[in-house]
Amino acid sequence: MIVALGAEVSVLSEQLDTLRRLLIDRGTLDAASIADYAPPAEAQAERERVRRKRIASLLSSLDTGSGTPAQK
Amino acid sequence: MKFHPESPALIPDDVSRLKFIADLKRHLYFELGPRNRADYERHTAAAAESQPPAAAAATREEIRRIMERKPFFQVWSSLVRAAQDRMWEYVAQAVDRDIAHLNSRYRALQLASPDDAGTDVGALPDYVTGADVHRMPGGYHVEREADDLRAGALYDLGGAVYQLGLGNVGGAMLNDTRGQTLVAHLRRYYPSLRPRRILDMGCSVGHNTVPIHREFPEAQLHAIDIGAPMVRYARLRAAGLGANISFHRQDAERTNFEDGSFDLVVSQILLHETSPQATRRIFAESLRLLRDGGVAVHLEVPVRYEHCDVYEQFFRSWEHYYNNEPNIEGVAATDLHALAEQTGFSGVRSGYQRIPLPGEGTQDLSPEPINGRGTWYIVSGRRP
Repeated sequence: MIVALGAEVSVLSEQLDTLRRLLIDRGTLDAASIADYAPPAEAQAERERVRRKRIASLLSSLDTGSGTPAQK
Repeated sequence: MKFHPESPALIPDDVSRLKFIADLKRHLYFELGPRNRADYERHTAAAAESQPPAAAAATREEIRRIMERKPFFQVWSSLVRAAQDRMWEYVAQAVDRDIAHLNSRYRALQLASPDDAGTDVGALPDYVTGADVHRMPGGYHVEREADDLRAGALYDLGGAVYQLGLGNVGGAMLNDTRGQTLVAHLRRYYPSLRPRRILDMGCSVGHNTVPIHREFPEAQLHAIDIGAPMVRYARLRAAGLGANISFHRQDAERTNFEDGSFDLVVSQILLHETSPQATRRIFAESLRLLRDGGVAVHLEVPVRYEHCDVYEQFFRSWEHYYNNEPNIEGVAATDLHALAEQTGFSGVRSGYQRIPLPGEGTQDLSPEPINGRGTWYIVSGRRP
């Protein structure tokens, strides 16, 4: 359940990011443009950063105890 | 997007889901996975201090029995399995959207072959049918309709995600670093080999057959797999990549090729999908198929128990017990170098071969694992 929820949140977040960028750049909403949107390298890197932070946050309750990487 | 010209098309939501799964797997393996060892070491320390002191676990099986009662291992394992199952579900969404197109492309290009009926294959072995390997629904062989490519398409997309950084370099999703590593091994140790006929055993969808074609474009390259949908999809994939390869549905334990009919015979991560008995038969079959002086190369996952402490043996067996890998333990526990010599190969070499990086010279085999660097384990030799 958590994995499915996390995946869907990830989908929603990235869809919103696409919309936001297009709205800012063009001042309009175009469904075909959204479907075809290919994020530039900078946007991909930002999405990756947010996604990985979300995963770490989702699983943070497991990341405790001595000798775990979180304590490095 | 597509992984290659004939792959199923992925829409942005597929890409988001699969990137999430890849990052989740990465976090589970590399960030949280080491906590299992910390748990085990705490258990060992507590056992040693008890009165009377408890004996330390001596085998990976004993450690597994201890760890299966640890809550963290239970939760962590469940999450790794959940990530795997979701991966196949998400891949299937993309494949099922495109499967009619893929099957029609296969028919339009007239790629079918009479030997797809598999009359020489006989009953499928237990290691193929006994469980869904890697928990991929339907495994390597299940077909839903005539000339079905679906299982091959699932394996193609899922395999590229499953391998994380190990199967793909430079951002390409071709999942072909085994083939590249095998070619690097041939360049380093068999530089004068100019094979005219080559066989790739257990090729699945031909991910790693294509780099062999690129290295020896003039050679007659045959590739076999026991799964009919794998072979079909391999033909479509290779056609899209412009690689001239003959794919056949055959059993690597007993092919119908003639004695001595190849100059080079290879397998690439085939053995750990079979059984210890089949591994011996595949080695013997590769020897039978070579001409005198011909070369065999068997490439495998870089998990060798002789190079692992007993905890690491337990941990690296996870896929065997919880991800339907039928022979990870068998391969990791078998001395493949000695097996090659017993089979009759001469000049046997073995070790960890680095995945070649662009611009890097050819590397020697390493007798020990190389930390922080992708490798595959290779055993090679000649027919005397």
